[in-house]
Amino acid sequence: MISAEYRDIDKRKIVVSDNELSARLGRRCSHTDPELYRVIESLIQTAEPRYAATRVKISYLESGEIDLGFARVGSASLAKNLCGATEAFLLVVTLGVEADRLLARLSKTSRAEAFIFDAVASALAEAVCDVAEAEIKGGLVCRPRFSPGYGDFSIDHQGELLSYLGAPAHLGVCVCDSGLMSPMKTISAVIGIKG
Amino acid sequence: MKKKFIEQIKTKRLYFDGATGSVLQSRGLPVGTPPEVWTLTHPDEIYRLHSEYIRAGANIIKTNTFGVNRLKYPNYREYISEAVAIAKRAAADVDDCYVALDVGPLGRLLSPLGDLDFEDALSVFRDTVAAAEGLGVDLILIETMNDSYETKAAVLGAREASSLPIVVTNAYDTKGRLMTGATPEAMVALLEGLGVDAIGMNCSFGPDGMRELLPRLVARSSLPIVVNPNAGLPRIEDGRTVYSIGTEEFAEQMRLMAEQGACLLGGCCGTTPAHIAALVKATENLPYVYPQRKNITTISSFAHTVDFDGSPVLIGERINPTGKPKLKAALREDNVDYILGEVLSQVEHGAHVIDVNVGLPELDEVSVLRRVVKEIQTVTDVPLQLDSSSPEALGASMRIYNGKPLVNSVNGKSEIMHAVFPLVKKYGGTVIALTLDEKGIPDTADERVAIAERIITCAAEYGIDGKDIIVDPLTLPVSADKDAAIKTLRAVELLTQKGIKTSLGVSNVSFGLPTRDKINSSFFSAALTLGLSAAIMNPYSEAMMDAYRTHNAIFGIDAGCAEYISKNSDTVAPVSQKVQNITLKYAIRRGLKDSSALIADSLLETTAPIDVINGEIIPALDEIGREFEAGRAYLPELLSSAEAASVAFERVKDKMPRRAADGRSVILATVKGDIHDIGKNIVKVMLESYGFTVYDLGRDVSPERVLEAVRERGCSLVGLSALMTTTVPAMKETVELLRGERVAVMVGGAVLTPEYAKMIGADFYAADAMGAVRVAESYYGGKS
Repeated sequence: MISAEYRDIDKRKIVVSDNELSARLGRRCSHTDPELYRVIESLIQTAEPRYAATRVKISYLESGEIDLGFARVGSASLAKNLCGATEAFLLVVTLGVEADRLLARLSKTSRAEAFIFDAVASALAEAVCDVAEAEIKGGLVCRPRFSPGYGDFSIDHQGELLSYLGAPAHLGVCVCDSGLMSPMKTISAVIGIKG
Repeated sequence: MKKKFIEQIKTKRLYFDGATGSVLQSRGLPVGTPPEVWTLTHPDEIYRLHSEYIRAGANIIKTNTFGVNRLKYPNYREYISEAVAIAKRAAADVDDCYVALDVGPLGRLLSPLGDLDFEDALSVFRDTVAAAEGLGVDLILIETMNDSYETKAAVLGAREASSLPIVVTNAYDTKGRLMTGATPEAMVALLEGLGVDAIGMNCSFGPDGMRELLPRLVARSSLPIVVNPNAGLPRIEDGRTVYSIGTEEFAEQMRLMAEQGACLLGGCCGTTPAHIAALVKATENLPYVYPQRKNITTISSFAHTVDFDGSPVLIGERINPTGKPKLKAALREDNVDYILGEVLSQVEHGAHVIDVNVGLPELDEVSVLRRVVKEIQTVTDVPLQLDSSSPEALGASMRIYNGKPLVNSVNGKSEIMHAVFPLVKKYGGTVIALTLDEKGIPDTADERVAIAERIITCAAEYGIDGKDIIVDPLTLPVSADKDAAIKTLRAVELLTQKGIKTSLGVSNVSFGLPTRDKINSSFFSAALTLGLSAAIMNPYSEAMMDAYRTHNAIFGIDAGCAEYISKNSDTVAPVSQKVQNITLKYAIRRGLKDSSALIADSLLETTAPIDVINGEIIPALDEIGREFEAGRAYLPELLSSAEAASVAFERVKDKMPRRAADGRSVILATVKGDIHDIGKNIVKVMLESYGFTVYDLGRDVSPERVLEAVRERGCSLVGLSALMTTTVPAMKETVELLRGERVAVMVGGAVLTPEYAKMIGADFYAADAMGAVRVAESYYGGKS
């Protein structure tokens, strides 16, 4: 059952942020560093970045909960982020299962590379999410994206968000028992649309 | 009284119904609510939907159970029995209408990529199908699976619960593969091996997309092909999902597919009774062509097939403990990483298939082979040859193998055939048949061929097609019998003439002789010329790879000699590089892995191993460790140095006089509920680089398993890691469980602090990888 749009990411639009890289590698660096550039290119080639997105109406209930369509969420931090928005985009972006496989392979053969690739892959996931966001926003002004697990937006809503978007069937993204998503390099988010 | 489904599809085209979810959404099903819940709340709507499809001409209707399984619905049995009842009611008034139990994906990814174990998935599917037993469904439809492993779990689970016909349709992506990588060819191999009754595609895209993939299925499948496409691609218009392809265009595309060889036709998301009616009208008068049997001998991994079709197949032989002390040690220590390294290296050197043999008398071969195969499947997409003389070990590994394996082996002994053939029948596989029997290895080529034919006949009694048998007429040492090679080659020739595929363990021919490679490669060339399909050989051997490549070039298999040219005209830098004028300490500090190896080797010629360790390796690590702690070096540098140090350590260990393990061992685990292991892996590298023996239990490890390992290994230091706050309780549990044992526990991980560590009762806290090393050093330093 499909209830959202599913799109491939245009790899040419991906730009990895130096801040993200630096944060995850634990030192100041840039996507233009030759060694990191190589890693980024290799990951982009291996990954199959895709996303699922849809648009929902938001209602603010008497109980203080926020009805987002896929769930009723009680979260002060989400409420603060949404700032009264009455509509939002729901987004799930993933680098795909091949990226996970590459990381799994590296973790068996070279821990140094595994660590670096893993950090870069996380930064890449954020970059891919930026591309997806830009595409679905299409000029609308929106709030910063906010994911389950941020603040008091319970990570337990992850599964509901993914189901609502048909992500397990059509994007190959699902939730593990631990609450983490699989494939690992996946980002889910609520993006409030400024009224 | 309608014909049985399997009989019917031999001569008549059947039509599946169309979409459930999208139609129900247009009738009020809220977005985000799965269709199956309406079975209990709106049974009339479900009945109405079935009836409309039947009136439109569908003769297979799917029960409204796509997402129903015990993981999602505690009362799944109720959903299933109600859904089946509604479908049967709708089908009752019509002749020749079949009810298919609709089994969709579980919505979870199977491990190792996800966290759902294969056997657990299998048991869920088994329970789902068992819930429908006796309710009168005519067949089981396993659909929309985008993972070959989950598909296998579903088919095996269904088989274990029922003997009803099974139809499998998978969801391919726009690149023509399943999400986890399988090609249509690989799926045909897997599914035919599992003995399903029809295969095909559903969902993903519209008929135009499926038409592109259809020829690939038609070319490979001996089973009828099913196509159930979407009505094009979905778009969101005014908050509603709409599909792009109308009924006439849909019907026309389906008609083209029917002409191209699609047998059973239907629709998926976005299709309606009108689509099905148009489809039936456009195709009902077309001739129905049941597929011919394809004589293809093939095996597959989770991703792709390797055919035995004239281009010789190289099976890398290096994972076999006989005569390999390092491998034996790795197996005993459960050092799977070493094995994986050997697998990847063989693949890099050109092996098409990897033989996996872990038979050591002191090991539990069943569980070791199963574990090793699972691990190997994680890191490579090359098909495997499962090699064991224990049918139990073969069965266990065939069961969890993700694909259609090469099985080594069966032979002419009655007992073995009756043990191995049922496994091949159940799990699928292409099996190597050794031409020996109760009387031993026959002396003449003709007698070996006779045994081969007997084996093939016996296989046929089990329903195993001759194309799934590859005969190995056995290679004996030419030094013991001057005609040994001649007999084997003659057998290869005879078998090839009979259209039977062959394989040889080539290395055996030179047993007992010097410069074995020369004889092996010559024998190999001779056999290839006579038609040898595959060989178990050493891919590191230049001579063997030369024999392979030159054969391909000469016999036109390597068109234009392209492969041959590319391998032989590289200006390869001399392998024995001049050892740079740098110290080992420097090489390690700079993380130069290859240089470290070379320098260590050269240093060990003049320096005692213990001095190399204390004079070069440890000081280098201490230095970079201090820099890291001071914030002047970062994790990547630390890791590179650690890896370079490990490599140097390996070289040193080889040279060290044999002594008992120094007892400084550490058990590492990421606790239950946590699947992050990067930190733990870093700690492992660091500890090993300092010479500790590390037993890595992996991630998501239960307290009981840690206790078991402590007792099994006699190890007195355990390191636990957790990255998530939710798993700290599991850490506490583990610490408590270990309290009675003589073992110390150190803990680390992003969420831990010295306070937390104290709170859960740990003995030590390690802030990072270097911290873990310091703890281990001082712990053992204090003890010795």
